[in-house]
Amino acid sequence: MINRMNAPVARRGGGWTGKVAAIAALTLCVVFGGPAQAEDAKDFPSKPIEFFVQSGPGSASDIFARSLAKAAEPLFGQPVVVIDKSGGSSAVQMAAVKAAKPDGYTIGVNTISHFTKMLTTLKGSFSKDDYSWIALLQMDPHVIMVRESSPYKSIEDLVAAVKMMPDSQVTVGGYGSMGSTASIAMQMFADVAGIKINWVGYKATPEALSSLLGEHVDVAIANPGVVQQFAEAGRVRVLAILGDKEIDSFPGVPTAEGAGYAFDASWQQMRGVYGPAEIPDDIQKKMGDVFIKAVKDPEFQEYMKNSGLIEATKGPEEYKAFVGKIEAIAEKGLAASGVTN
Amino acid sequence: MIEQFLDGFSHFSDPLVGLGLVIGALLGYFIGALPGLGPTLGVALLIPFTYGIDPVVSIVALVALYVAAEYGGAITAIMINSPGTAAAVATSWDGYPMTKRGEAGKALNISIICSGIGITLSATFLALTAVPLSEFALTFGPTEYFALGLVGLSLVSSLSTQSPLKGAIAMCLGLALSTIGLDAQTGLPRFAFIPDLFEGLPLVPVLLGLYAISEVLMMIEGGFGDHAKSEPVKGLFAVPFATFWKMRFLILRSAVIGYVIGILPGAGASIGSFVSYAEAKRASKHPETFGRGNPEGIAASETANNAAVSGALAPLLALGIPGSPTTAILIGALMIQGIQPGPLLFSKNPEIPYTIFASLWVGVPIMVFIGLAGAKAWARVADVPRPIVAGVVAGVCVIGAYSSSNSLFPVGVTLIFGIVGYLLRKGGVPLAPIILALVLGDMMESNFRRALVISKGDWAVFLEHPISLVLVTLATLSFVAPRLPGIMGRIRGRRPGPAPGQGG
Repeated sequence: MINRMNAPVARRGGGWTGKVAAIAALTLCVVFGGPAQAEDAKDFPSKPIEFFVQSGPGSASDIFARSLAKAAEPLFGQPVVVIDKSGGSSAVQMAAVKAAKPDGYTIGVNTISHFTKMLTTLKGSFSKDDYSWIALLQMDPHVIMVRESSPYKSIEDLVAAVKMMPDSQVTVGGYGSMGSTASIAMQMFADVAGIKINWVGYKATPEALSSLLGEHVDVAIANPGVVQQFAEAGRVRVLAILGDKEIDSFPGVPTAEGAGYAFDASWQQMRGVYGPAEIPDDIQKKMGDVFIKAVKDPEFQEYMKNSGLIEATKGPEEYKAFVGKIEAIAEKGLAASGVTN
Repeated sequence: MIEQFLDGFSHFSDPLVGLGLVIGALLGYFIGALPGLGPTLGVALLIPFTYGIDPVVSIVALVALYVAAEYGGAITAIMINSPGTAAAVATSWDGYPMTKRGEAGKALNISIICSGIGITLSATFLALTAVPLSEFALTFGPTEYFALGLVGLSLVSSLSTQSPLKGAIAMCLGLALSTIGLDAQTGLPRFAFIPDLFEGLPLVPVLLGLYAISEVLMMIEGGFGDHAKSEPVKGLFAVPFATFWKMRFLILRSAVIGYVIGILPGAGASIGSFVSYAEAKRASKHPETFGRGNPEGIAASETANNAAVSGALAPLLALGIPGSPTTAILIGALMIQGIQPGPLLFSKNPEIPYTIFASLWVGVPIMVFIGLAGAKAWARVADVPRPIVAGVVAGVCVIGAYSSSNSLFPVGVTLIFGIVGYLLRKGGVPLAPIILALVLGDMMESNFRRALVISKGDWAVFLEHPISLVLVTLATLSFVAPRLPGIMGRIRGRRPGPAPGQGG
C-alpha cells in the first residue's frame, strides 16, 4: 500500500527532495514489497476492482460489464465498479487499461474490435503484448438475413441469385465501416461462397435493420440479440448463422458450415476481460476462475439468453493462445475487405 | 386499447412509481440546467441506479429525466446565452435578448409552459400514431436522409438574413469541422491526429465554447454594462393565459414539426427546433422582431424540442429502433431489465409503452410546476452582478465539459472554441449556422456516401426517389427564396449587361 503511494512521487521527483523520496520509496519497497506481493495472490482482491468499458452506458459491452460485475462481486467478496471510458473509438479505454498498475485491480472489457483496431487505426499505439488476456466469456456470432418479403428462402437461394447478377454483387448493410467485425464476417462468407458484396456501413445495428426493412439494402448482417424479435415478428428471415452452433431462437436456420460453406466460425463478436500486461499469473488465474464461475450465475445466464449470446469460456492460458489465432484471422479478414494496415 | 391506457395510468397509484417520476423530473431539471450535461448524459448517469429496481419504476424515472433535461437546456440558454444542448440553441436567440431587457422571468415562464404543452400534445400524437408513423419512417433511406439534411442546411439562408455571405461562411466552417473523425465508410482517420478526435468533435463542448465562453469574453470586454434590472416575477403564473392563446396555432404547428422530425432517427430535437423556429419566423407578420426577444421564438423552439422527445420514443416503442442518442441509451436500460425492445414490445410487454404514454401526461404538471417555481428563483439570479456571472459561467462550463467524459480533452475543445466563437462574433459571423452544419454534416455525409454506395455511383438517385426529390426541391427553394427579391432586382437593374453569375 505504502510503496504504491510513493512510487509516482519518486518518478516525478527531480531534485534533492525527489531523491530522498525515491530512496525512501525504495527502502519501503524492500521492507514491505516482498511479503506484500506474496500475500496479494492469496488475499486478492482486498479492495474494489475497477472495470473499464470502452462504449457508453446502455451499449452491449456496458450491459455485459454490469451483468458480469453483479455476478462476480459475491465471488470476489469485493465490489466490481463499472466505469465508463468511452471515446476515441475504444482508444480511451485501451490507453487507460494499458497505463494501469498490473495488480488486477484495473481491468477492462474487450471485444474483437480491440484486435481489428490494434491492426488498423490504433496500430503502433497498442498491441496485444501490452495486455494480459484474463478470460474469454462469450461469443456472439453474426447472422445473415433478408426481409420477409424477399424471394430468397435459403442461403443457397441468395448465393445462387447473386451469382446470376451481372456483377455477382449484393448490397449488404451492417454495423461499422469496412473493416468492422460485421463487415469482415460478411466478406469472409462472400469469399467462401464465391460472391461479391457492396458494403453499406451504419453507425448502429438498428439503423442497418431499418434500412433492410425499408428496402434500402437487400441483405443485412447483425448479431442475434437485436434480430430475435424481428424474426419472431415475421419481419426478417434469417438465412444463415456464421457461428459453430445453431441458435434456438432461429429454428431450422443452418450454420454456414451446415449449409455447405467452409466458413471459419471462430470469427464472431466476442467479449472478454483484459488488463495491463504482466498481471501476476496467479492473480490472472484467480480472476479468470471467478469470471468463468460468474458466467454460470442464473441471472447472468438469463441475460445471455435474452440477448441471444452464447457462453464460451476460456481462462488466461487458453485465451492467450486464442488471441494469437484471432489476430491472424483479423489480419486475413481486414485484407479481404480491402482495408490496408 | 382504452383498457391498456387505464392500466398504464394505474401504475401511478403505486407510490414508488410516483416517486420515480418526481425524482426523475427533478434530476432532469438540474442536469439539463447545467451546461455540458444534457438528457443523454443524464439518462446514462441514472441507469446504474435503476439496476435492480422494478422495470416500470425505472423506465418512468428515466423518461421523466429525459423530458425534464430536454427542457432544462432552455434555462441557461435564456439566462446566460449558453444553450447546454444543441436543441436549446434556437431558444437562446430570443430568450437571451429578453433577459437583457429584464424579462428573464417572463421568458422562462413561456419556455416551461410551451415545453409542457409540447409534451402533452406530442404524447397524444405518440399514443395515436407511434406504429404507423414509425413504419412510414422506414421508407426514409440514405437518399431521403441526405435530402432532409439539405432542407436543414437551407434554413441557414432564412436564419442569417442580415449577412448571407457570413452565414454561408459559418455554414461551410461547420461542415468542414464535421468531417473530423473516422471516415464512416472506410474507417480511416480524417484530420484526427489524436485518438480523442476519432469520434469527431464532441458537440457539447463545442457548443459551450462557441456560446458560453465567448459570451464570457464579450462580458469581460463590454465592461458588464448593458443589462436592464430584471422585473420580479409575481406569482407562478405571471404570464397571462392570453399570451399563449394568441400563439395557439404557432404552438400546435411547432408540436407537429417537432414530433414528426423527432421520429426520424438521425434528425431529432435540435433540427426540430431549428425548423420550427424558421417556420415561425416565416409565418410571422413581423419576422424582423425574431432574434430580438420575440416570445414567439421561444415558444416555437421549446414546443418543438420537447415534442421531439415523444417523436424519438415512437420508433423505439414501435420497432425497437432508437430515434435519438438518448433513446439509444434507453434501449440499453430496458435490456438491462431483461426487456428486448422490438416490434413485439406492444404485445409482449404492453405495460412499458402504455406506462410511458401515461408518464408523459402525468409528468407534465410536475415538470411545469418545478419549472415555474424555478423561473421565480432564476429570475432573481439574473440580477447577480455580471462579473460574478461571468466567473461562474466560465467555471461551470469547464466542469461541465470535463464531466461530459471525465477527461481534459473536452475542456480543451471548450476553451479553443470559446476563443474561436469570440473572434467570429467580433467579425459579425453568426454562430447558429456552425452548430446547424455541425449537427447535420455528419448525418448528411454518411447518408450521401451510403446512397452512392447503394446506387453504385449513380447520382440521379437523389432525384429519382419521390420523397428525396420533394425534399431537394424544398431545400433549393428555401435556399433561394429569401434572396429572390435581391436577385430579381439585380437582374432587372442590369438588364442590358451580362446576367450576374450568382445572387446574394
